[in-house]
Amino acid sequence: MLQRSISHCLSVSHLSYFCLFQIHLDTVLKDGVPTMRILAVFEDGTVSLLQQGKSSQLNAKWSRDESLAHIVDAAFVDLPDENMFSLENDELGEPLKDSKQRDPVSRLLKRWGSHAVQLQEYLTTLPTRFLPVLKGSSSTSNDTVPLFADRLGFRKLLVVVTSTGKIHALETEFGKSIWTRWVGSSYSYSANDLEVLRAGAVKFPPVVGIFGTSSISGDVIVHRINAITGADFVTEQVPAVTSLADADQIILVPGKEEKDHTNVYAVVDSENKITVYPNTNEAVDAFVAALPTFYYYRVKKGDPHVKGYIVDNQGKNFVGKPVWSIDLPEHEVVADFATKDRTEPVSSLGRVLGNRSVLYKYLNPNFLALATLRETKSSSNVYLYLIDTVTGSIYHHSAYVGAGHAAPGLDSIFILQVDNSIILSYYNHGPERAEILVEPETRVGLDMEDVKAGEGANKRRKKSSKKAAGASGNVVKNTAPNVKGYEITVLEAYEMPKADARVESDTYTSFNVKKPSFLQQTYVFPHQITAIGATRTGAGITSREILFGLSSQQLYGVNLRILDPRRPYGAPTAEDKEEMLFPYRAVVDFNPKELASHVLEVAGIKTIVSTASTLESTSIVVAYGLDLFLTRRAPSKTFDLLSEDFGYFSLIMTLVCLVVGIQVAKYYAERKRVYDQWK
Amino acid sequence: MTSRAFANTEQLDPKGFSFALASSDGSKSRGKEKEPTEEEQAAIDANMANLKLKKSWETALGPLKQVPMQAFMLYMSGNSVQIYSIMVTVMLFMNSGNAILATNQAFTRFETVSTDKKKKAAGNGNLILPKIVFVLAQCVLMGLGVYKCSAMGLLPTTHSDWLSFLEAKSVAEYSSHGTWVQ
Repeated sequence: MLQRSISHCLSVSHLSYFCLFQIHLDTVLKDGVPTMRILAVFEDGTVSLLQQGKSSQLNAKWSRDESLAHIVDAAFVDLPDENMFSLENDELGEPLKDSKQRDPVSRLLKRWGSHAVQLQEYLTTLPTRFLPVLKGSSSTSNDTVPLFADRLGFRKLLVVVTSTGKIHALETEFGKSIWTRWVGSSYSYSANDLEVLRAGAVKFPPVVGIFGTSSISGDVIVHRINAITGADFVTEQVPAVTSLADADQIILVPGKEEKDHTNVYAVVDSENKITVYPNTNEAVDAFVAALPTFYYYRVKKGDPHVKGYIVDNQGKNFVGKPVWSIDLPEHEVVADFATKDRTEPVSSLGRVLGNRSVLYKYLNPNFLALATLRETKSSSNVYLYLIDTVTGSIYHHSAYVGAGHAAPGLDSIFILQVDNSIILSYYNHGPERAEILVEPETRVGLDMEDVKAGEGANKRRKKSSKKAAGASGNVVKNTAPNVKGYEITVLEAYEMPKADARVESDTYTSFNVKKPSFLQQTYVFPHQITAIGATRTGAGITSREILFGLSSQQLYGVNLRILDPRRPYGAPTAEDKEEMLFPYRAVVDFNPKELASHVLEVAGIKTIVSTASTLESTSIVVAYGLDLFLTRRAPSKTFDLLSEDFGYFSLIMTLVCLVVGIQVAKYYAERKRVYDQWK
Repeated sequence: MTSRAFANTEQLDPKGFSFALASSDGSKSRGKEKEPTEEEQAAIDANMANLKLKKSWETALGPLKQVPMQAFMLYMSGNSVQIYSIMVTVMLFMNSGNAILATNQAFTRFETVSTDKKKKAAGNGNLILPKIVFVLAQCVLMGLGVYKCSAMGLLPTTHSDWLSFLEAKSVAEYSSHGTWVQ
């Protein structure tokens, strides 16, 4: 990461307004004259070679923008639809109260009118739709990229913000840069977070906000930028740049403000005082409306506790009051945590088994999966807590003895929540670091369902350590086989342990709930993992794929069907075959065909994000760290696309010939019939 | 004498034959067709009605005789959804359905043909029970078809068939940790 320090601004030809970060001096002999060369790294990430010119003035020989190597956060922004201002869109954007007031007849006539306009537009654009098919697919390398969404939804905007405040907007089809901005130019800025404040709608262009800290004042500075043009987004009430004093975390508030339709955030400072961003009346109203069911919690990597709060409305001020707190045992710190994406669509509420019964999924968006690490000189354990963050109840607690980071500084513990599954990866050091202190509490913590369902190397290790453990309070050595490597544990949460049973209720509330049951399985992964992510699609029908960033500079995808806790041992029964489950094998085979990065090298992957395209089968995945890599993944193969060598021509010719043949045969048959009648 | 001996069996007298000619006082009615007496007519009618009832019961229980054969055919067509099994099942349903709709037609030959309304009503009233039994027997055949459908897995009897109509639960609370910006 580029660290900020006191910067010296240099006046160098056209780069006069950038500030230096680092320089390297060099001298060469040019035409017998020693000339100075400076390799300069500027604060915004540009690297430039400056050479002493004729009149001892520094000229830039070349400059490269290397800021994309320090990406902090990325967000996808949907481009607007081409016919943005059609009547139908106007009608849809109309709020419900207005449409209820009109009488049904006028609404129907209005709808017919908008359909007629749509039909007109469709007919005029119809010839242009067939041109690409007749020409064949053409890859355009135009200079100008049309800033509208294409039919398949592959063209989106990827907005990335780097650590020094440089923002790039790249389009996802060919990776061209649409606009670039540096918001840290007037002060030392360290960007931390990028949020989409408003997804594009009909009359409202998409807006992104960059949250970062200024080293001068220590405040959090927020910049609001129009995502399509890169210009500042200013409204009457909120300026382009806002400063939030002493802000620690920002929390998205459910519900939108009516005026600008931007997201409302609750800004929490270190003393749990809450302000609303943007600080307008409508935003505060939206926040107050959401208050009765609004909770928040604080968790950070390296903390030894997780605390939950509720917001107290004291007239003008909002204060967070602590509601629950989970203090981790001694030496245990938070290693990683993950929640489910709230906007993720779930296509089916249960898992259909081979005998046609259903295991109902436990879908709770307030569920936190927490992985903690307890490291001492001789042992290293990873603990998994599954916590409901409204009440602070721990629904599941399991221990993975001997697990931890692969080496100091080499983070190996990653956790991810997808659908109703929790995926945890860690490095298993083997029995030599798996000493456990046997206490009565840890025994109770291991659920019976857990022990029954949890299989593989972990169970053998747990069982053997339980057997070997003598009286409580002893430190005992583990007698499991000496295997080291990366392992992945998959847990699936279901409402009830039996199939066809469900908690019958229309609403889900955390205060009146039955503890979910979990199915668990562990797999061995043959490579070093540096990051973890998942695909996502528009309707959630396609099976999900988990993407792993490998230390061998590759991006590898594993289908969730392989990481399935219901995989049977031994030969599959007829029911297992119905579910298409294949037998359990501990090792996830490395299949080079599943490399998302194929022959390319993507170095230093730290984060993987994904978004849906209009096609249900395809997901757009971006991996960034040192390199930035974007690809399209189709975990269930492209089931909604015709294959590339589809015979359009032969199909159309067959139809045409058939129609012509039928007409000819009809004519002759009619003639024969009439002749026969005259005989 | 001979005809009277046979009157109680299935045999019907030939057309035009009357008891009077064969009776012992043939001298009185020589050369002239004498009408049978009232009680003899009643006896004839009773025999006919009896016969017809018997026959109608046979027709009513007829479908049940087809059950073993149809069951065997369904068994041979297998439990997977193939064109042959679907055809056999659908034929079974269609045949039973059509037969139920044509119940009255099946029983026309057992209706008493008479000008006397009272006799007619009495005769046809006896047919109601066989008709009901006939319909029920056809329903038994249809039941075979329904059983076959359930064996093929086509009936929506399990939870997985209604899963797509379930609505997701709405969550009452909202809890989030947001993002750290400091």
